[in-house]
Amino acid sequence: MFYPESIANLIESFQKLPGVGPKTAQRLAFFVLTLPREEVVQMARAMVNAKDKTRYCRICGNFTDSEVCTVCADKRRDSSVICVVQDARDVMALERMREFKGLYHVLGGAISPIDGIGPDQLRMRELLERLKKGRTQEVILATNPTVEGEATAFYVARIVKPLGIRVTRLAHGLPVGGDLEYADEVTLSRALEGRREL
Amino acid sequence: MAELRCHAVVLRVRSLGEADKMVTLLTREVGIVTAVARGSRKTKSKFSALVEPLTLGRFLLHQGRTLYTFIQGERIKSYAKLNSDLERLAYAQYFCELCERTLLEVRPADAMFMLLLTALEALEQDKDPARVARCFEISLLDELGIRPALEGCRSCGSTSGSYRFDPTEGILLCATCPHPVESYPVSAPTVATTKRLLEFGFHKLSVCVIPKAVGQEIHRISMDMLTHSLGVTNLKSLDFLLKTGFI
Ligand SMILES: [Zn+2]
Ligand SMILES: [Zn+2]
Repeated sequence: MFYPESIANLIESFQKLPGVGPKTAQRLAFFVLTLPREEVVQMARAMVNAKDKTRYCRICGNFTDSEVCTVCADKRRDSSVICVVQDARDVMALERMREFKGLYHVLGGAISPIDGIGPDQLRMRELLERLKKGRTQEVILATNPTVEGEATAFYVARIVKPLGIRVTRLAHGLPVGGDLEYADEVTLSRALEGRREL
Repeated sequence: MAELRCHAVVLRVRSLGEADKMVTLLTREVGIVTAVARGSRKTKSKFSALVEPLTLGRFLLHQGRTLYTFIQGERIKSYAKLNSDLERLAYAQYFCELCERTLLEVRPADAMFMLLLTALEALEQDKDPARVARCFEISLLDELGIRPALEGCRSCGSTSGSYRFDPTEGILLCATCPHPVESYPVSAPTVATTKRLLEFGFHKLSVCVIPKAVGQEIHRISMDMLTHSLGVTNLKSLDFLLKTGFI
């Protein structure tokens, strides 16, 4: 297609976004052209700003724009509980439920031998250092219910238990609002394993 | 619309876009296949548990122009419980990666499929995962038709004394015969154990004791054969095993 270079560049940039194909990229690009100049500038600034300012929290590895993230900086949070997750986006997901009052630790991935990712590539040492400071009484393992996530949970449990800290794993259960008969066998058997007294 | 009904083991899973997964399978029917599982990263997807690594299942795939797509499937067994032991998980994925990298043609792969299943079963049961790995490596060479020749010196026929292994030819040479620079000494127990593995495979493997030093030599022989014959290098799972000190 024969677009002026500036538009072609914009379309190409949008195509780098996840889930955006050539057609959507074209639509987005033409939409941008219809916006007032100030709004376009604001949008571009927001992107650059987020990119420049976003860092990882020195303590837990969560996203932050200062040294320490809002969770770690909040004195009302319960520092005796640390919830271990794979990704900083998982912190956002858990925070949305507004029920968990403890702290987080982001590993930055999961153990995966076939991808060459071992404990050394994750923020495992940082976790141990935090735990050795002695305030933690419980570690909640909230890694994904996948082969890699489970392997990571087992690994963390093995190194944390000798420190005399309680280790728990997020329950695997049935999706809320779903029909039992449509659940797959793995989910069902995990849900049965994790049943509890009523 | 072409469909493929297959028995397969999920070797590798990669994220694709926002919600999909790209799944590499070892099928009994046509060898290695890459298929897309749409929506499988969402927690409610019917595929999410099916397309986990180390799952054995029956699958129905749609064959598109460039890629296969999952239509439906049924899990027969999952070997994912191996993930409670990092060494066993790493070996299981090492077997998967070896299958992926050595099976290059589209053709029925009964023997390779059975070999992988046997090795995964053994990994679940054997108290020595390294022994299972050495047996898998040697059996794989046999399956690929690059079995090393270990009946004495290839050059003079001598069947006693110390040997060197020549990975470029996959043969033994005695110490007195001329040998290429790539060759290296191998111990008598290594030669004997490798011959045992070639003859009996996984049969009665539990009575076959493989000391670590012998295991390391067998591993070297296998990897060198794979590199020289098939150009297999840079296995991520192998790096993992070496870095963590399991090999
Ligand atoms: Zn933090
Ligand atoms: Zn000789």
